[in-house]
Amino acid sequence: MKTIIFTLALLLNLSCVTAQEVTIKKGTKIEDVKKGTYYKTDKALLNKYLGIWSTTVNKKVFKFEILKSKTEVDGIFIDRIVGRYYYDEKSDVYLSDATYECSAMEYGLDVLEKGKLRFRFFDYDNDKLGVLEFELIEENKASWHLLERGGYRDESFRKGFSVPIEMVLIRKK
Amino acid sequence: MSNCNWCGELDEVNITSGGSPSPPSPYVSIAHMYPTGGGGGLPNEWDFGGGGGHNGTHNPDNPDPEENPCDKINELESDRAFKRRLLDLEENTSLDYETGFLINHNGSVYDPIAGSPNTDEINFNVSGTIDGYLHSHVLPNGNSIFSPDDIEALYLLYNNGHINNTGTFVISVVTGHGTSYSIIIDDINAFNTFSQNNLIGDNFNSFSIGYEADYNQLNDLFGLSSISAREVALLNALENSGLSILKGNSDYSDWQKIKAQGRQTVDVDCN
Repeated sequence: MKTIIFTLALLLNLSCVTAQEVTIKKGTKIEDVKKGTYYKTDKALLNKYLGIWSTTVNKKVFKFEILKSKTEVDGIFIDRIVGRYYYDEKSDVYLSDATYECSAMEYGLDVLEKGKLRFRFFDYDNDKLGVLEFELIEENKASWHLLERGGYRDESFRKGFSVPIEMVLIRKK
Repeated sequence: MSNCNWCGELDEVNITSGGSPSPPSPYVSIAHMYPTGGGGGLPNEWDFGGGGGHNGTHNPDNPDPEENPCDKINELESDRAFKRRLLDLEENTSLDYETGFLINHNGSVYDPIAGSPNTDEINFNVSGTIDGYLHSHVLPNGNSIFSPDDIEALYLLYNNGHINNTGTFVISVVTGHGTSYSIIIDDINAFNTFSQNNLIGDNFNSFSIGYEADYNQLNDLFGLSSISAREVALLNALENSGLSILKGNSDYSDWQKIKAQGRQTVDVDCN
C-alpha cells in the first residue's frame, strides 16, 4: 500500500513539474530557467494586441487576427505572437499547410510595452514576404503599414502586395 | 589579428598602378584584388559582364577556391578604403534610413545605396557581380547584428550569380547600437546546403522564427543584453552554415571571428 501511495505521489509530483507555468512580468528575474517549463508572457502586456482587427477597404472586409503561440525553444516553452489575415471572403487559406502565418519579429516585454509590433508578413496571394508595422494608436485602434523587406531586390518586389499597405484597423470587441 | 601569430611580422604592401607586377603580399585590399579605375593605361577596369566569375548562375560543382580565413580577416583589417566606408556608415547611423555600399558595382569600388526615410529596410538591385556589400542598421528598430533577411540576401546574391568570388566576398553591417559585424564564406558547399535547408521558401520562415524565438528567450528569460542575445542567437542559427561571423572593433581595424558556446560568445582563432 505504501508503495502505491509513494508511486502515486511521485507521479503527481512529476506531472506538476512537467506542466509548470511561470508568468514573465516586467522586472521579473528568472533565477533558474528549467526545461519543460512554460514561461508565459504577462497578459497585461500581451492582451492589448490579441484579437481580430478589421476594416473595410473598397467594400471588402479585411481582418487581421493576432494570436499568441506557445513555442518550444531548446526544451523551454515561451509565448510567440503570430498573425493571419482574411481579405475578401478568403477564410480557408490557413487550412493549407503551404501557407504560413505572419510572425512578430520581436515580442520581448520591452517591445510589447511600446505598443508597436513588427511582423514578418506573408502575402499568400503574391507568395512573398514583407514587413508589417502594426502600431497601437489608441485602445482598440491600430495603424497598419506594410513595407517591402530589405535586402537584394528579387522578382517579388515587382508584385507589390495583394492587400492595402496603409490602413487603420479597429479591434472587434 | 592577435590570433595570427605571424601577422605582426609582415608589412603592408601598397599597390600602385603601372610598373612591374606586384610582389606577393600578405595584405590585399579590395582595390588590389579587384582593380577599378586608375590610370597608366593599364587594363584595370572592373569587368562586370564577361570572363570568369559566375556571371549569371553559380556553379556548385566548380566553386571558387577558398581562402584561409586568416588571410581574409587580415585583408579586411588592412583595407583602408573598407574602413573609411565603415566610418561613413557609422556616421550615417544617426539618419532615419539605412545606407550602404555595393563593392565593385557599376564602375564604382563602393557604389552607394540607401533605403527610404523612416524605414529600417534597405533593398538594392545588382547588375553583374559584386565583391560584397556594406550597410547600416539604424535606431530605433534596426538590429544590432545581421538580420535573417541579410543572410537570405547573401544566398540570393549567390544563387543569382551576383557574387564575383565566394572566396573573398564579404558583407558587413554597422549599427546604431555601436556594433559592427562582417560575414565571410568559409565553405561555399556547406553554405549552399545550409541555404537549401534554411533560406528558401517556408524554410526561411522557420529559420527566422527559430532565430527570433531564441533571441527572445536569451534576452527575456536568461537575461542576456539585447546585443549579446542577438549575437548568440545568430551564431546558433548559423551553425554549420559555412559562414563565419567577425566582430569589428570601434575603428574597424580588428575583426575577431566569434562563435557561440552555450549562452556566451567566444573568440575563435582564425587559423
